[in-house]
Amino acid sequence: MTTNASQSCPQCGATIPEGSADGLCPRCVFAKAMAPTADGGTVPHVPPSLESVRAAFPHLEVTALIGSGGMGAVFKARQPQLDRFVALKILPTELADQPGFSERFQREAQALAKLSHPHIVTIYDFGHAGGFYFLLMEFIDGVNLRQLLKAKRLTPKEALSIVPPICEALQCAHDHGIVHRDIKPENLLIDRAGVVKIADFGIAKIIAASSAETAGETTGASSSAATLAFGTPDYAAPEQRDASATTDHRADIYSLGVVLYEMLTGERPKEKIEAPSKRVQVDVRIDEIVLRALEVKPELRFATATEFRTQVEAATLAAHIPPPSGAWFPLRRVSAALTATAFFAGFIPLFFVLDFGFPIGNPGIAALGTMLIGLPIIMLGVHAWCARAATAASPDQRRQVRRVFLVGATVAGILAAVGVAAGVFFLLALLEERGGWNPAPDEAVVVPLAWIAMLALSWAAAVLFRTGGRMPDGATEPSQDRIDETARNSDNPPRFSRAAIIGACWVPMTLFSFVAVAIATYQVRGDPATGPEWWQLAILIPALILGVAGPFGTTILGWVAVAQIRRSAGRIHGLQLALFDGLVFPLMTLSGVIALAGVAMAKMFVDFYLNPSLMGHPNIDPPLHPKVAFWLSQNTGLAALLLIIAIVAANIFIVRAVMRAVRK
Amino acid sequence: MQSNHTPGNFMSTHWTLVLRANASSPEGKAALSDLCEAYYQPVFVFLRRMGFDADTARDHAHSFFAHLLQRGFPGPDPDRGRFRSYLLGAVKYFVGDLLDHARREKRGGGVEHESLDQNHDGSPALLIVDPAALSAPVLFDREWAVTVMNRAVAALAAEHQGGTAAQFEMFCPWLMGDAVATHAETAKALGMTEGAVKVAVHRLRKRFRELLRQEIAHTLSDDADVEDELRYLCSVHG
Repeated sequence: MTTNASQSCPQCGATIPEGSADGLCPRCVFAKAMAPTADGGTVPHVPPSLESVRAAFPHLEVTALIGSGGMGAVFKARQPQLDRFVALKILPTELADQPGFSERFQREAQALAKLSHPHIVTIYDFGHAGGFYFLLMEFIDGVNLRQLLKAKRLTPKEALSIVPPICEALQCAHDHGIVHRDIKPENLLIDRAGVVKIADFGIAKIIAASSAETAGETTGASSSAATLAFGTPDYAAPEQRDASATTDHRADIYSLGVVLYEMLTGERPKEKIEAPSKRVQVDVRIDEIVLRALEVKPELRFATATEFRTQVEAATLAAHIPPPSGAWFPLRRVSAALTATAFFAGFIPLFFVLDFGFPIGNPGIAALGTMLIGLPIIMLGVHAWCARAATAASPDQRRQVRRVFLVGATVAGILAAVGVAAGVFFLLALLEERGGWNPAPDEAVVVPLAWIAMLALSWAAAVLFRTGGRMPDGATEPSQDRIDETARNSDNPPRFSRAAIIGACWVPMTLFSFVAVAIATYQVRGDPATGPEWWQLAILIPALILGVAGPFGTTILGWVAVAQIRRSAGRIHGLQLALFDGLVFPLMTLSGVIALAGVAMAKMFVDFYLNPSLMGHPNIDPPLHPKVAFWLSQNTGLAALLLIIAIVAANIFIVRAVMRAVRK
Repeated sequence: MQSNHTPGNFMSTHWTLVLRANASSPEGKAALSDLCEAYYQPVFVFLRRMGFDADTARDHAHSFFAHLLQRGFPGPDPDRGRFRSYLLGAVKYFVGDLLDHARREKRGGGVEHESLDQNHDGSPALLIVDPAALSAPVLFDREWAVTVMNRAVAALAAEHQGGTAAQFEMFCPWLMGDAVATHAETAKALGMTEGAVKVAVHRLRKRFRELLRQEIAHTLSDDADVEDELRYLCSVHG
């Protein structure tokens, strides 16, 4: 190495000391070594001059430089033929001479051009012109999020409202296999209309790959450092800093989490992340979301941007409602138990009725029998469907299933109540029996069933009301004013309609009183000498009062509950049970009336035509009718079945019409 | 002494190591001796500024270092953070001691008559201060900066031996800045594209920066600030 005596530095003019290696001027060397300080070795980039850009793009009216950074320089320009403003991004020239750069650039730009999303800055064109690699993009007339944050603090609501559109955009990009890798407030643009758009998609990748080549580094740490050099390290996911780990779309989710944290608290999360709720007034649910997005391990974060979005949206809408309980309703078990109960309970009164000649006449028997056979069969069907639907994938489907099931369960419970009534009756009969209990065969079957039904009812009632109270919010998406109402009612957690439950409880009471009256009548008839015992009266009289009031009470409570639920905007649920309450007695009455009327008319019909003498009309000429009448008299069973079908159809029609009306 | 050090050696020389190791341990001694060998020049320049002629200064420097290595620092507690300050302090003390000794000898003791000639051994040149000339400590620091730079350059050269040596020679002046030559000329001279030249220069500068900082770090204890020292060294040259 030669040393030159008393030379002056050509650049700064200072005397180069003897002994300086290679005649280097220490002043200049040190000055140069000092120059790049914070960014630790990024490619020194001077934005191209306006004239050179104008010369390179003669077909555009290039107005001004709007930004410059490690990613390149952005100019505002106008396309005169299309009469629109565009943003012209010029990539750093140092990258241009890398081998393979143009292929890489083209690949990325083509991939980006496929992204067409309202929240992603659209790429109009890209290429190489006048020595510059450029991207022609949508011009966003607005500010970036960094500028917005500097200007004012966002409310939590505003902050959260920015996230869903970004997530949508990210999901779209991820679906196309593109990861942004540099999500930060500077890259989130907000136009005058308040629409947020993500800019610089994929640019980080193009430049990172190039600068890694530029630096000539082969170690992974350096290439990720190069990536970092173009992304502020604060927003980069931990795996982006680590050379050995692979980064995927979840890095974007992390970066967005950092942005959200910064929007909420005003600062970026430090080494030890402090929950946002400790710093500002936000719901604890938001905490969970933010902290999950900021998980160090990618597998612990949200798996997709969509998941992030739905969580944020749910938290925004239900800001005051605690999250639903996670326990999955033991659908199959309870469904089976209650259906079995209903089944047995349904048949018990039937036996009872048929065997003991319930004093309400044959049409009454037919009607009661119809109801009591039909309903357990329906319950079996409901159970089968529920059991199949229990494997339903989405929570919405499960909720539907739960709702339908609860309605069915209520009905089953009611039938079980009837069975209990029968059981009580038998108990009384047993107690009355003097001289040992000699059960008839059918009695021996029915009595144990009745007792099972009694136990099952207690359990069913407990399960039903407990589950009903825990049922998650099944309301559809509420409108803005509903959210306000929800916010106003924020002290009350969501609950099952109390009116509906009371109405449902009243139903067995009615049936019970019905049975009780029958017992009393039976007893009076059977043994005129003894009136009802005092304890029987004690039970009977209140039961009678409640029972008589029952149909009215239940129906009224049912409709009150429906009104409440509709008004509460999702806070109160149990619409099905309320509808059931409101409809059960009217429908029962209707069914009974149809049955009675049908049977009576049929009887009259048959009697009229087949036994004219009974009716006192001997001289009617019977053309077609006797055949029908004859058929009717011969096929009572089939006729009864037709009647049952008619009743069931009427019920279903009415229920559906009402439900549709209520849902509107 | 600059060219003999390969980058590998740098790893072991560390001011922190010296501070932590006591005088008797072999690692400490080896580290200190490496550092002393590396930063001989500033000491020499300091001694020259003090008025000693070249040969005498060299002798003194040698004895100073020998003293240092044997007994450690003889004076009051130095600034332990930086080797530079430490060494400067040690040299000052040493020179002061030398002068005292010489004065004492002059006054009494030895009968030798010594001329008052400046160039004669022992008489301090400090009495005649040239306002235009820089003071010895400043000179020391300047020379220190040059030494640091030289060592970094040497390390860089060592990395570019063999095939790329010619390239390195061409690119070396670029460490000073962009005004040295145009990219086009250099490109032509080396048969590379302009873009490639830019890239190579950038790479070289980046590496140089790293090496420079590394070299500085070796002369600092762990808690001292590399950037601070770098800034200071930059400032000594105006």
